[in-house]
Amino acid sequence: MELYKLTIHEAARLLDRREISCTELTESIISRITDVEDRIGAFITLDIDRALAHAKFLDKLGPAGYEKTALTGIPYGLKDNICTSGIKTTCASKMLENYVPCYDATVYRKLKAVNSILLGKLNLDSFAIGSSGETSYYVQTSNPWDPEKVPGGSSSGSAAAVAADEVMFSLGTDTGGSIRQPASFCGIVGMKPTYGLVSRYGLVAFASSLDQIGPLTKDVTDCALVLNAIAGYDAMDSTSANRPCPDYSACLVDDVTGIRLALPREYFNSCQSDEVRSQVIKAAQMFEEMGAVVEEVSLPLSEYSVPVYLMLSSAEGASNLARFDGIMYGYRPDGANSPEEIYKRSRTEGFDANVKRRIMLGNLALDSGKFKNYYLKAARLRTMIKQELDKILGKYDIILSPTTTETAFRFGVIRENTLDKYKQDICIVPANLAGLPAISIPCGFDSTGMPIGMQLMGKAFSDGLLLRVAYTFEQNTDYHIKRPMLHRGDVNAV
Amino acid sequence: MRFETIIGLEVHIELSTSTKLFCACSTAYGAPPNTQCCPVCTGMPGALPVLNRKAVEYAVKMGLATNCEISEFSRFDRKNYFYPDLPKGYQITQRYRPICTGGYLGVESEGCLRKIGISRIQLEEDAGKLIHNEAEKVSLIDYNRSGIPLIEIVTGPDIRSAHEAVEFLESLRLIALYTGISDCKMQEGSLRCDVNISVKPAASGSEYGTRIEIKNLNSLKAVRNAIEYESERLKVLLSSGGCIIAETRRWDDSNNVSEPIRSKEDVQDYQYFPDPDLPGVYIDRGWVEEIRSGLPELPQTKRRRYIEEMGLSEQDARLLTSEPYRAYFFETCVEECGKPKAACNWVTGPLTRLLKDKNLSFSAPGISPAYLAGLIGMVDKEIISYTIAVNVLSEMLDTGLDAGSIVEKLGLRQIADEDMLTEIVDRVLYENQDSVRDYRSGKTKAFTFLMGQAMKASKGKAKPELLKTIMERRLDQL
Amino acid sequence: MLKLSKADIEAIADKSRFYLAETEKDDLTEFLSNILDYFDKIDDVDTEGAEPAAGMGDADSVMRDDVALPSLQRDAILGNAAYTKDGFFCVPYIWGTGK
Repeated sequence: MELYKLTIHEAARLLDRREISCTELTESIISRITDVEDRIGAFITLDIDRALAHAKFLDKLGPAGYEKTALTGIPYGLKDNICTSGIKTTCASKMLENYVPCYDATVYRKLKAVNSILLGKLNLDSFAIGSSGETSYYVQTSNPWDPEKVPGGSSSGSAAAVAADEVMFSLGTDTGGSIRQPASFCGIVGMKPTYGLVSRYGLVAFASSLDQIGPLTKDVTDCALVLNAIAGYDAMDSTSANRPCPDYSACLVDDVTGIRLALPREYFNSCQSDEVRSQVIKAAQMFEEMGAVVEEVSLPLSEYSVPVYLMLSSAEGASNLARFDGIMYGYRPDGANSPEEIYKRSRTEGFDANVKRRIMLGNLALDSGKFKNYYLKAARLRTMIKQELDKILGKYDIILSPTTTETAFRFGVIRENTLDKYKQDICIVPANLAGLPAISIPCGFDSTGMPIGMQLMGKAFSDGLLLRVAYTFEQNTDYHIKRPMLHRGDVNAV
Repeated sequence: MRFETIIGLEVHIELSTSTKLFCACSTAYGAPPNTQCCPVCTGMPGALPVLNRKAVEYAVKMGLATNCEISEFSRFDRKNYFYPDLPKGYQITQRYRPICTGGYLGVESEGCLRKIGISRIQLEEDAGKLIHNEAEKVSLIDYNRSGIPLIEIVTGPDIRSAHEAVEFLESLRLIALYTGISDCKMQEGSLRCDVNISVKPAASGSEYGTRIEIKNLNSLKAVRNAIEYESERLKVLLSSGGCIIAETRRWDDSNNVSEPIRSKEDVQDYQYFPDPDLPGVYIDRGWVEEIRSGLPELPQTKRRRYIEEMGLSEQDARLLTSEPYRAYFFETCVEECGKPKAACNWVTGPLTRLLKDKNLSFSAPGISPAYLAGLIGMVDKEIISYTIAVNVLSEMLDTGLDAGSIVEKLGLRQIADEDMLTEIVDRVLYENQDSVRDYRSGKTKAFTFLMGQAMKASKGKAKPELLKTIMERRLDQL
Repeated sequence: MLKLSKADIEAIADKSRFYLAETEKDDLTEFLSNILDYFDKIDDVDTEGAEPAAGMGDADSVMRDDVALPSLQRDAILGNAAYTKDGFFCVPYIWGTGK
């Protein structure tokens, strides 16, 4: 049996019954990586020896030697903007090519504590700014379903690695859809939890008020298991929510009776692909048949969410990325004669064009002199957008929409100077602006065989309900079981 | 032409919390470079700030002591700029929602009390320290100071002279010391000050002149000298029809001149915006009242009480309150001996001098105020003379013993026995017959000499009045 | 009409601490002008009544006790710096500030 194909809950059961060992599971994953990584390009840093040693150590200790949870002994990957002490954290940039953090991100510390096995650090758009995965300084990740197409971004490696069975799960980060969009493009489950549910301590910030760490998994059950492991209050993050977390696995009930789903007209109208739209509508009809209440609603402020997002994320990003100045860490040019020259050369040579564009935009947005403080206007609109969403979510449990307005596109189609790529984010950025939980799950394939994702967005801290509704859909469909054919011997389960 | 000088101050006071404003690193002064640092205060990627409750409490204390409004809601903002002592590329400060607003402090100037308005008090983090090594062409950075909590106190344009500015700073310093929120050691940079100054013709109404900012003054002397220099410079400029440009200047302490750093034309836009890593702070009214009730008596109130209730002079009251431990020592001593004037004289006189000579201080004087009260009592009861008492006090500071023990040990008890004193006087008169003759021929100076000899013969222990009476009597009898 | 001039772009680049090639300046002028056009639609919305959103945290008044914890080892703090000297971070001499 190819163990790498297993979900976490399947593997955990086998580990639990001692039908397989941690070493066998990790070896299977490693051989899978050896087979397909050339084709996928998901990893920036891969530490097979370390992973194997960890697995062997666990087997040697035996089950009495450590606390056992569903994630114990499970091999996984981290997006390379999550700090890991002793392991390079590059943010897929030249700036941090040799950067080794001196401390662990809280999520990594938590996964270490339950003895999940870290395989390595996964590719992303440089500094998590981007939505195609094309701006990494190191490696181009390709979509497991079609090597000509992008995996999505910025959590490109995190999504592709899960879809290609190179890891059993991964963590990504989502500032404006960076978990959900690549999950949708790669046909897997990706969740952005409620803002504050998962600690951001140790996540190299892009936009602090929008960033959130979340799981990318093969199915909804796995998503709940990973969320159980990483959610919870952290005194090191002032924006972390100090409230008890439910057992998300216990939320997985195959029942949507009476659940109220809202379908925002504006989100559906923005669809560039009819196939995407009709597939999500089909899913909505399925929910209705299963006893949910489905209604069309209007969110008139939707059209402003992307520009507001752009201004705010860039403004916060410009400030957050000011620390990369070549003095304490990061790329330092030789022969600079003054601190100013270090700043300019370090930042000019260490950041890529895409990051620089966003920093420029951010500094423009924050300018209070010549330009009319765009930041302030956007911040006011953010409040209004949040109020509009909260109002709808007062009447409905869930807002249902496509995750993306089209399926994965080809490499190189984005013209950097245009706004096309941003306009596609209309369904995903509102969750970040309002701090709401949202999950993307597979809901079909288009005529070219590329996966389609749908998004469920809920009230703050209704993460459990989102998982339940997603789980119900998954239990009654088989989209999540389909895997891309990557290698000789890959056969689809269906 | 007559001119008016308008001055506003921005005062930075380093708070004496145990830990930094946003992380748990120690704030102790003088550690080896970069040994009191963590990912938060060095701005490592991914690190996040968590606010120190004590720093908020200290800022509220200063707000209450300076009659400020304590904001129910306050928040932190980022001030964005690049400098090597600033690890994150921004300083966390309070631009839009400072913790305290709208207070004042009364300052005595030319015999009357002037109200100096305080427009805001904000909490912010300090930057690291740069050490410039010109010989080796490097500048070195130590981030131990990075993240230490500061309050910035901003006054209105209410100050009119260098004297008032110094008085204001001294008042602030005392409040900080009495409330225990800072040690205010200027040499360690715990109190720093920027001065905004403008000069206008006295007759020109309410219009202000062009503003000059002088940055980073770190002694009261520098503040006084800089203001005097700058206001004179501006007056001369104006009188000669010159034009003043708004600019930032620095004060050169060794040459006593100010010099320009940058013109206000290229004023920096700090792109302030609320720090998304830090939630807002609601300051509960109950907490404010709790802090208020824990405030000590403030120096100005103390001073008034010393004058009005204890009958001390203005000058004595000022001297006594000029450091909290001295005032504490004085008050406890008064409680013990019930003699404010005597206690004041002893505390501001011999005790202050002896502590200084012996490298001691009122914070750790080596004796309790009750011991001084005991000494005062012995002088009062004429057990020892004042002169002897001063020596006894010195001995007390050296040994930590009380006055009684020392007087007994060294046999210093005053001699008030008439027979003993008569014997001494007679011997002195016998040995100094020339002086006796001088006295008789009307030279009164000779009496002083004879008294001195007799006092010396008693080893200083003779009760002075009694000795004098006997001396007069024996001279008359001769 | 572009909303931004080349001088604007140069000023923002300076603030961002970037050197820009001429072609980059042109690209950025176009890109940022496009964004501002796009953003203009926001002017249609009346936002005056709305408080500007600041953070997204669940709770206010998050504070910790003033209790010191051990700092990191200096080697860990200095570990990623390109230049250090005697336990300090190190930059070229900053003119005009030294004593």
